[in-house]
Amino acid sequence: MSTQLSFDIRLRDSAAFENFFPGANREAVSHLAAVAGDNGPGWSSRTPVTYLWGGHGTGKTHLLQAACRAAQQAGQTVLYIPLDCAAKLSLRVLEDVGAADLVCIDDLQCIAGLADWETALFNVCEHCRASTAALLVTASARPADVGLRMPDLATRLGWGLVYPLHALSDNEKVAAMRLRARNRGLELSEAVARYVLNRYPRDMHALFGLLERMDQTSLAMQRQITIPFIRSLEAED
Amino acid sequence: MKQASPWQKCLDRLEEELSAQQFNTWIRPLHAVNHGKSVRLLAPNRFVMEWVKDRFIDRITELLGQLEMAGEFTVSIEVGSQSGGKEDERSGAKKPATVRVGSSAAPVAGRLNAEFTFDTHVEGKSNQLARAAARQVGENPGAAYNPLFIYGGVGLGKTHLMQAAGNEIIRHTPGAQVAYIHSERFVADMVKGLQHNAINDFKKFYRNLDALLIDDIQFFVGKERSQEEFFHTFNALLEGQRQVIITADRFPKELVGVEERLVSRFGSGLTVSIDPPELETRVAILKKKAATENIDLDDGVAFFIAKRVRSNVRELEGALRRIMASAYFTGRKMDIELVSESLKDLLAFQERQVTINNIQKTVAEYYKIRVGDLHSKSRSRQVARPRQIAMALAKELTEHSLPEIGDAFGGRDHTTVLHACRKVKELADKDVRIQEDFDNLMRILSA
Repeated sequence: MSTQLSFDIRLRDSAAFENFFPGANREAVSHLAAVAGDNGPGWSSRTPVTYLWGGHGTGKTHLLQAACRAAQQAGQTVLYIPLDCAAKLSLRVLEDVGAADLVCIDDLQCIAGLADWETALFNVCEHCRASTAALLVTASARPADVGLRMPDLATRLGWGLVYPLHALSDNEKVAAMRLRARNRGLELSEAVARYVLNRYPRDMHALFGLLERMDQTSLAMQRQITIPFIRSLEAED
Repeated sequence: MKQASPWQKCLDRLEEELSAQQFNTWIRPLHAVNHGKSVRLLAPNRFVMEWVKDRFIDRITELLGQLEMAGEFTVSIEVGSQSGGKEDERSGAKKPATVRVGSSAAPVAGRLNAEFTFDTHVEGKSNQLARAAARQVGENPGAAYNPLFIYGGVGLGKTHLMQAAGNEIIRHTPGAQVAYIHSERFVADMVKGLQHNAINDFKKFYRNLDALLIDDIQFFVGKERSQEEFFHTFNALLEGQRQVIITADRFPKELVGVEERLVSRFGSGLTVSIDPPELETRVAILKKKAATENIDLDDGVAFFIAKRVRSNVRELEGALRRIMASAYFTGRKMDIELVSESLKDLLAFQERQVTINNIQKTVAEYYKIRVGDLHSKSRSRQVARPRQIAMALAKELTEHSLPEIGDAFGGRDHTTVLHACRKVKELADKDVRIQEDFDNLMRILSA
């Protein structure tokens, strides 16, 4: 089936479960994979909503998009709605979820406090509860703390499975970078990964951005990714 | 061999012409319904509809005409979905989606959820009266308790009871027209009815029901036109001795922004409240919920959870779900250790929230006294009673020892705290106002 995007948005190529280093988030990842693959225990498919919350770079969007991709492969009709673009979207994106098997709402905090949007999302919750559709939501904080004005909405979001996404430790960040590199066909030694971690911004977006740049440049220059290679990139900057 | 239909042939051609991404995103989700030389396409949502209309519909029309050598083919597109009829084709759909046609003005009042019955509802002191009333209404609709108005905080089971009554009506009178609708949806449908010149259909639908269950009526606040419409619907149903059940998050008279005549009608039947469930009921809810999933939840574990998750049933069920997930994905036994670990973020939040300072501040505000009064030596009843209640709340809601609690109330002895707790319990048993104050404070602090 397909993923319907609210406008011309592409799922990130890298957003897949096998490309996500779970760290302390293994349970959340397993549950999402079960919902997306429709192969979890009975209560899993009856979970009205799965709510992931965490800070910047904890992998919320990655996991949500990975779930979209997996559900799509399992034959589900998926709707992915990134609310950080809410200003560009019409409320209708939330009003037309009728045919989707899986509704994914990214960055809930962007519409928290906006009465119309909250009401529309409340209706989505009710729709998913009354039908077989599953709802996945990501946000920067717990349902009770994300700034929602409608208590009815906050309690409905808290009714399902709520998982905080924990940031990775330094060792896990090294492992995550190496996993991502390996999936791109790159060999990244532990020493190089640590070198990067000790010298560059340490949030995962920045680290993965850097990895991509290293990948492209090393390919163009036909060079291995080594510490001297990274220094040469630094010199270019 | 079965011949491919025009739409299938068209799909094959489009698949060749478009990129896989374009085809999968915009074309594959479409349903096609053939009527001679016209094809009606159903898009799963408005975005797909508009996108296809803008970019692909001319090509689809052209292709269908060419492929069938039929000259002019009319192609229309709208939002909707249909389950597998003869002429209905969806390219590889796994399962039919529920029918919902977005552009229609027909009311979409929902069916009842069959899981919401009296059997699946857990009775406790907090909901006893509401449950008895709902049961009475289910067995004898349109009679004594009409309307039945159930009010209480969020997530306490109002919808469950209301729908249990509805399901009971249907059980007694198969074929009875019972509709459940959330107030917000009522408003939206009415607006749609007005826009599409179909307000008469809307009125007809509601006024022909045997029972109307309308949830969260507080959403009507400030919406005058909807109130007007509902008022007439409501009167028509009541006059015809049809049952109306209403829920709200507050008492009818507190619905500021709802017309007086409607408020007084709401209160003309029976008004009952649902309070937050007390500890034993919370335990019973957990055990029942676990049992429906074939899980035998140990009493000690159930008490452990119920003592920590207090504010509402949804939160309680959410906590249980999380524990079941942890047990399933880690293969561990559902014991207190697992429960503490899996609820750590939730519990940490609750424990962080409720401090003695917080309790003192809330109690002082509630009784309109100063926090300093709670620390003072004053024994006047206006101060002593709130102080005792605050101490009892501190014992109930925090992990502090009694000497610590005594200390936080102006250096009092732990026996004073113990005395306060006993006194509050004794008073609450005798005086319903003290009980209400205590419950209200508990609700405020655990929310």
